[in-house]
Amino acid sequence: MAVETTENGNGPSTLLDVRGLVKYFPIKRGFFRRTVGTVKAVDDISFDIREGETLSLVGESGCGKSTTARSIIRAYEPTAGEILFKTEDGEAIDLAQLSLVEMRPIRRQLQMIFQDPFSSLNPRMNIYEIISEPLLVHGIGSSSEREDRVAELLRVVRLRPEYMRRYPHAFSGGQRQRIGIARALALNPRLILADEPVSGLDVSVQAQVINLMMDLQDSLGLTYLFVSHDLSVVKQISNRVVVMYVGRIAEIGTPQELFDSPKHPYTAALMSSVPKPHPSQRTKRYVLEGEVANPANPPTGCYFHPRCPFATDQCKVEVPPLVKSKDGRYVSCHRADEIELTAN
Amino acid sequence: MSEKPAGLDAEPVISVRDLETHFFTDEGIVRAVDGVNFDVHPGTTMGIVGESGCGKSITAKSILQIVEAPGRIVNGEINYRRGSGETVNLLNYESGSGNMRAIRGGDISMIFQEPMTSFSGLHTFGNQIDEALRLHTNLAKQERFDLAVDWLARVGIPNPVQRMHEYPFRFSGGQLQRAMIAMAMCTNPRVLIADEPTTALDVTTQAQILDLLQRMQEENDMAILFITHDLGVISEIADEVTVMYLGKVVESGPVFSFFDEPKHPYSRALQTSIPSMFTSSRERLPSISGSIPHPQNRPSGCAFHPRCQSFMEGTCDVGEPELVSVNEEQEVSCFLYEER
Repeated sequence: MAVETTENGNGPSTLLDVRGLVKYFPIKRGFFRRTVGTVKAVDDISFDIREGETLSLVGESGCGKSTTARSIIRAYEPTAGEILFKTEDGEAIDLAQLSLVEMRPIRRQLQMIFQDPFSSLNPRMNIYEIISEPLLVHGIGSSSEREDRVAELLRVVRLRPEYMRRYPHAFSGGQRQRIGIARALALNPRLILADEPVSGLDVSVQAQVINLMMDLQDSLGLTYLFVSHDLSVVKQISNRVVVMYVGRIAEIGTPQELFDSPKHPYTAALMSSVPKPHPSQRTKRYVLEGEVANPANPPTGCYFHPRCPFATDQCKVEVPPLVKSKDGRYVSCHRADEIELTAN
Repeated sequence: MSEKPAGLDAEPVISVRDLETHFFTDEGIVRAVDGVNFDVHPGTTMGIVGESGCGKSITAKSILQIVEAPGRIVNGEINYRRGSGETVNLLNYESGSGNMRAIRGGDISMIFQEPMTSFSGLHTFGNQIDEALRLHTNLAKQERFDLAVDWLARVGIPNPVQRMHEYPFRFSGGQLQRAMIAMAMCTNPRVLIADEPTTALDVTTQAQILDLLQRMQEENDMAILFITHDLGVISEIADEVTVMYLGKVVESGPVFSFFDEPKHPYSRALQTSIPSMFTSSRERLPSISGSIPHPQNRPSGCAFHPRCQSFMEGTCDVGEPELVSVNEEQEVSCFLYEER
């Protein structure tokens, strides 16, 4: 397994190591804005991303996957935990401890691609201004060098450099998303956080953007943290997948492992909910009862226990730790080794 | 092959013929729906597949005559077969007429994509479901309340009596979609139009809603017109499929033929370019080049020709292909299949 090789020191090294990340949002009410509760958006999660891989965070809306990505890039202030990022000189820095000024040079190496290509590009800036802005902010190159760089980036994302004086409205959704990718690549980042990058696109255009992202990864040695609710897209692009439920990790594994032999009952339910691609595969779905738990008032014990067909008394009181199972996979379920699950 | 649902042999309950709905904008006329034909049979599900701008939602709204200005139905027939066997062309009724209002929400109900914006935030949920029942049934107040509670329970909403007095913001997205289904179903419609009812929902909630719709269909022998861009959902729920591209039908046929032997190059490209849980990881999918043209700049000839793998110069960019039968069950509009 990939996990083993890293621990033996033979595999690719860890680029980002998230340890015990917590992000709570206060709920404020009334005239004095008193804090009356907390939303536990991300509640003690740990995972690592290796150089050159695509790690995906999946889960239903409100599971904390976007909050995790935003905390890593420090768009949100993490409540607790370590975010160890290996810089170019091989030194591991805890991003959670840096001040925003110290964070600025690191941001060159961490870039983000957003979901909505219609609202993430400033309509009053032309394409040259949009893509060169990160270069300008970081004081890189003269104006003619920047222009050359923008032309090069446009070619990389398969747009014509002649278009650089045009404004975003002249481009389709797929083209705008490629402009967003070009902007993210401008500073030669090492880790790209992509939050639902193809969800806003028409299905016939999604494949273009996914293929481009995979090609860029191969040619530029990029590492992706990919956030998506679309399990089919995740399966296609990822090396490993982190399944989240109400701010916690249910399971980590390769897409094939999670789909063929899920260990956590939630993973099995999630995979089983994905529509089958051919009508002959219509089967009785394993339909989850009930609603996703409320992160402001989560249940005791394992957050999934009220919906879990395998829950025991232990699950109602004790939080299952994320442990490495016998075959080297990470699961947080008290009964992972006893129950037989299938996604189909 | 699975057996064909019996309803497919029955007379269609809705038969759309040569429907044209145009939008008269300052920039010119947009032919959003441009000569669309299809039938919906009782007890079966017709899936309309297409991407943004293909006219699938406008087609649905045209059936109920709820197209917003500057849109207008300019041509065609929407033949609705009543329970008595009598067939009427709904376009002979004025949109605001009593006849049309009796059908809209009564015989034919609709559920929408965004459950969060489809309810009024100013009225309790009970008030809103009661309105539908008041308009379409002769029941007394208490009977209406009991029926509404009964439907909320049937769609799986906990504490239905209490929920009747609550406002929509108290419901989650999946609950609202279920509540909308309850509201659409409480008048016992013969046709349900579902416009992307699961697109805004998570996969687990989507599976719950699809299950619910299938159960309702089995119980009531209701016809469903299911509109979506998601081929996975089509493969789960549809009996027949109509594929639209820029206002026209490019292919139609039974769901099995559509997945086994898609005929139109657009249908084929859609099926190969969309990732599924069964493609292997890190595989490059063949992608469809270009993007959907703006409806104002509709390409000449076949609207798909600039993106088509089988483009034939001098044919596809000149004439418009007709929808023709290629075998007993499938129809396609493509010059590859036209006798020349």
